[in-house]
Amino acid sequence: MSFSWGEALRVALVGFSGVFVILTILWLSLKITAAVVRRLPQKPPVEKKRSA
Amino acid sequence: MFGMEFGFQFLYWGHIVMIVLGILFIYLGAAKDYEPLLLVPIGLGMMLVNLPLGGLMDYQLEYRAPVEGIVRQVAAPGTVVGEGGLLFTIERTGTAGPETVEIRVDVTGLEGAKVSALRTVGTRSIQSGDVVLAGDRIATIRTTRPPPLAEEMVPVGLISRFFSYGLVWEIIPSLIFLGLGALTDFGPVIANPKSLLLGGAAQFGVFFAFFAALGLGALWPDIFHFGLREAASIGIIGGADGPTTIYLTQALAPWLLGTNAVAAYSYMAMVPLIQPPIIRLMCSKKEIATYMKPQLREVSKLEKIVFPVAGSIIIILFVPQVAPLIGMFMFGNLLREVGGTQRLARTAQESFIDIVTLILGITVGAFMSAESFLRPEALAVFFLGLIAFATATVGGVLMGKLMAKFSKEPFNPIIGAAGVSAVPMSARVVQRMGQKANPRSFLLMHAMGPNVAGVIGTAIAAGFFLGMLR
Repeated sequence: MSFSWGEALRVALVGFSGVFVILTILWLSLKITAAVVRRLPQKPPVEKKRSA
Repeated sequence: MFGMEFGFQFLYWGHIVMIVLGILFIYLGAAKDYEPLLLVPIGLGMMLVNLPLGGLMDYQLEYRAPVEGIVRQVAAPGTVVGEGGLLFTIERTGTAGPETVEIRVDVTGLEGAKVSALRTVGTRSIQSGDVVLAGDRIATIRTTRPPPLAEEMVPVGLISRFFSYGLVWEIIPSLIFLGLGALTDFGPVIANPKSLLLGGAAQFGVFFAFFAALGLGALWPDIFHFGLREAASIGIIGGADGPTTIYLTQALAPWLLGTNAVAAYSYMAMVPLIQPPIIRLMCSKKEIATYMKPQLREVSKLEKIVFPVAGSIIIILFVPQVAPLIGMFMFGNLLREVGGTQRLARTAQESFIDIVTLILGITVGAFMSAESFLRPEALAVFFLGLIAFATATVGGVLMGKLMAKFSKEPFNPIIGAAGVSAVPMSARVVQRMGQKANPRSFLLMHAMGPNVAGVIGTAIAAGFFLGMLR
């Protein structure tokens, strides 16, 4: 089975760095979501009606 | 014997080895509690497929008369035929005089198939001198070992049907991901997004094993037939994620499916044995005992709903090749987090994933026939799988150490080992080791982040392999 080491290196470099790129974008998106959620007006806690 | 064939007539040492191995898997699952939900069905499937004549993994192909004429020669039932093997000849009668047409097996790479049935004429099988019309079915060949790309062969055994319509059609791994998504709590990742990097670092094992497989293939090309596609499917074992391993192997190197899947699931069961020595080798006692605040910040419901939606958009835009896996994973998670779909989420978490796991387990086991498993490549896959798991742990812990250096708060580097997904096994290993070193330590929630990130990271790595090698 023939393959070129150059091709293997390309696959590994693109694959491994690609994993980090996508996970970093996910990280940033989580940070942005958290920041946006924190700025949203918070609903006041609903008071439970006490039964008589 | 007695006018019929018995299975034991065809039993050979290879079958016996595999049957014993199957029983060992059942024993490990039943008595030792090593991943019983997987090892028991895999072991049983392995045992069943190695009982001769059972036909559970059989595929067949029919051959029809291409022209009208007189049959002159026909292979008897039981005749072993391979690629190019003669099945029958027909003497075509026409105005231009007699002409003989030969019908041979046209499946590339087929070996050891048997003629299983011939056309019946009255109460007997077709024979020389019978007249046939164009399109008449003359012979059927049957095999348990179709070559990987022989799409013309039709599954006729119970488990070969599960395999063809479940795995070849990529349905079962995606459905398992739906169940996994419904079981996964993204809370720890959302509360501590840094843990995504730990899940990414653990993919080091995938790429290390990829090169190790290529190295073996280059050193002994006559023994180990490993090219880029095979190496990628072996490397992904290091992601410790069974469905992703099956999904990628099926697409790139289907002939390695059985061995890769069994290696992945076996090592997942052995994570408590593989990881601790590596972690101890890489981290000092002080590092292992590092105390981290047990509480992560509270995550709102909105964040938990946004993550699967945004996550699937981002990941699939980059690696559309894994849309079935990521799409189903995030769908399952969305069912879990959206209040009104609790009924669906419960089904996905319980009976649904159980049913799919049952079918997957027995099908993977049935791929372990003596003929396909007792080969040097299988041993190499198991060796490389271990290397993949070990180096994935090394990658995760190294990233943990790096993050500990830059962290303002105390950071225990061993949580990086949980980046080797094996959910939730590796997170539990981290928890146990941390608590043993420091009874006050509670690392489980911190380890669940990298653990879940590892699942996503492995699916992304698989997507890159598919994108570049399919």
